[in-house]
Order: sequence, then structure tokens, then C-alpha cells
Amino acid sequence: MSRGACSREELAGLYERRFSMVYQICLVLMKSIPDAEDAAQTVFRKVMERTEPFRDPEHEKAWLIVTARNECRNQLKHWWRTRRAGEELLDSLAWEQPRDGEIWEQVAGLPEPQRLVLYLHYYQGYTTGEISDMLRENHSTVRSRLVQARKKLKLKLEEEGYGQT
Amino acid sequence: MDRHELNRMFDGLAPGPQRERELMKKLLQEDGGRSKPVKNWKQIVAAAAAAALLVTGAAAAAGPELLERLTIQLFFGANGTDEGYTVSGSPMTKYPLSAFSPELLAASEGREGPCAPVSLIFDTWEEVKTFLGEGIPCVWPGDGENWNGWFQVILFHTEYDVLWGIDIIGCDLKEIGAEVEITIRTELWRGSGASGGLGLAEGSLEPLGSYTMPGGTVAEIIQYRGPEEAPYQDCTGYFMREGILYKVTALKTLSTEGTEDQLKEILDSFRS
Repeated sequence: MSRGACSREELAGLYERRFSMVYQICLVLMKSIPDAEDAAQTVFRKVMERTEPFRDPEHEKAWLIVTARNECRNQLKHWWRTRRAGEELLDSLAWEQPRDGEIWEQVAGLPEPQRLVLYLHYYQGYTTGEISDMLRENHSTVRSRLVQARKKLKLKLEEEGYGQT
Repeated sequence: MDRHELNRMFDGLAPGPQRERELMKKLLQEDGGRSKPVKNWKQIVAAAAAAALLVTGAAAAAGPELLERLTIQLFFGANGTDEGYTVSGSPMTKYPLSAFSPELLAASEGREGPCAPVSLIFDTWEEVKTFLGEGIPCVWPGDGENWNGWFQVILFHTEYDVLWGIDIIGCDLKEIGAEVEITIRTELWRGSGASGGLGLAEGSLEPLGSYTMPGGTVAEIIQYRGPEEAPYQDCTGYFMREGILYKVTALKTLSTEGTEDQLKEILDSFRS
């Protein structure tokens, strides 16, 4: 058994299910592969330290998202990272299409809260209401972030019904 | 850009299967062993924070008028400090609870914990000032214009000896206007770094003992050394003078010696 509520096998299963999501969140927020790997590993160490089991898969997922966000913010606010801004632009990422790299550059240029909302809404499929509940933030704040991100990226998604709660 | 392109890009951010397996293997091999150094430095941070709070508590004990007070400290992003050292510490000044806005105090109460931070968004620095309280003499970087950094306000509630923190993240978004985000962490917050609000990357933290400043004030000094990927160090001195807790931090690159001496020079400049 690990020290926390889940066994080694359960942890391995959780890792396989959720690592990609946690890593993507960390990469979206940290914009650095080594930093994202470190932050994602830290999130799963915190899973190992949990004494209470997750209530259900949704609770598990939401907890991982919030913990990943908090871990990244905690790391990002440390003063030495403010000096490294712009140093690491994920040059080592291999994109399926060159266009993806261009899109990443635009997304990476958004403020951190907007990047996270963008990822959670469009990629993970959460509504803005669900995101605000999960992150304990005002619904209007989350919607505003999404609108601003979309405006900045000139995403033409309204006609598809995206951005609605 | 459409949604499919956006999500295809997010697909590209996923780790490769091989790397994912390597990281999982590493994590499972650690199985708690790796957490020990983290735990150790957290304990040191907690001890340091406790020491700082002890000093604050001593001030609170000096008179009942000090009991209902918050201590506020501003950290500004260390801009323009590529090499050498700078001082990021600021004097901690106490303000009565009445100096803070009712909105801020209300937002700090009644949270169920452990809880995620509560975030608030403001469009202008003026709104931030109003929210914090007109009586809080904050220095606003560049009048809030063309600034893309962060600073952190840490509140010590001396009545309960607990730490509250407020992060203020400001962004100049140009095309879509300014956005200021405030995150309030209450005494119920148990997030990472809650013990000291220090936001430290993994590294080592070492108490260096006491240092007697001119005039007899004694400072407690703590040194932080970052890991290889964060090759910086800082050396912080805590001291109390006339009821005010000061925190002074000297920063240097990891390869540079003499941070402690540098800090002591700075501490020597605090003359009564």
C-alpha cells in the first residue's frame, strides 16, 4: 500500500487514466515541459498523500484539475520564475501540423486563467458553470475569461453553440 | 481558427506514451521516498513561519489595541534583476481591521475548508484599491499600466496566529483591457505552500541563526537554495522593531557566494 488512501495498483490505474489531462493542464499553465512534468508528478504525489478516497470519477477528475492548477500557480508565483518568462517556448514539441504550433503560440500568449478555461471548456467539455463550481470562481468571471480568450484568438465558435452554459 | 484546430493543438500537448510510462515508473519507485525532502523543507518553512508568527504574537501581546490587526506585506515581482542581487523584502506594516474594506473582510470569512482559493476579477487598479481598502497604502506598479507581473499580499491575522494570503495578479492584455485577479486564501486554506506562503520550488531551506543588528535588534536568518533547474538562492531575515515585523530578502544566483553577508549589510542599514 502507498501511504494514502489508494493502493499502488489503484495509483497506477489513476495515473493511466488521468496523467495526460494533468500533464496537459500543467503544460498549458507552465509553458515548459520539464516544469509541467515536475508539477504533474507533484500532483500525483499528493494523490498518494490523500487519506480519503475519491467519491466518484468526477470528484477524482475535478480534484486533479484543481490540484494541478494550484500547484502550477504556486510554482509560477515564485520570484525566480518571473525571470524565466519567455525563455522556454516549448520548441521541443512535435506538432502534428505546423498550424498547431502557430495556434499554441497564440494560446500561450493568453493570461494563465484564460488558458485554463479554454482548455477545460473546449478540450475537456466542461460548461462555464461547471468550471466555476470546480474552481470556486464566479460564473461571470469564468464566462468573461472564455469570451476574452475567444476574442483574442478570434475563435468563431458561437455559431456552434460553444460558450453557452 | 476553429474548435477542431484548437483541440488538435491540445492533443499535441499530451505526453508521449513512452515518457508517460517512464514518469509513472519513477513515481511508483519513489512511493513516498521522494516526499521526505519535501516534507523536511516544509517542516522548516513551517518552523520559520511559526517563528515569524511568534514574533508577531509577541507584538500582539504588547497591548490589546494590537489584537485586531492584520499585518500586510507586499512582494513585487523581481524585475530587472538578471544578475547580482536585489532586495524583495518590504517592511511589514500593521493596519487595523477597520482599514480594510468590508468587502474584503466579508470575502475572507465563512469559507468551508479545505478550500480552493476564491478569485475575484477587477478591471482596473482603482477597483483593486477600493476592494483592499482606501486606507491601505499600496504601491501600485506603474499605475497599473503596461505591467505584466504579480505581487502577493500576505496577511497575518495576529488575533488567531494564522496566515492569510492574497495573491494579486495583474495583466496588461492590451486588446481586451486590463484584468486584475485577486485570490484570497483564508485560514482554512491548505493548499501547497500554505505553511509559509513562500511558493518555493523544491530546494533546501536552512536556518542560519540569529544576527544582531545595530541598535540591538535581533534578526532570524533563513537561507533558501533552489534546485539545479532553478539556480537561485535567497537569504531572508525576520526582525521586529517597534511593533512591526520586517522581512528582508536578498536574492542571488546559486553560483554566487555571499548572500548571507549581503543580507547582513542590508540589515545593518536598518538603523533606529
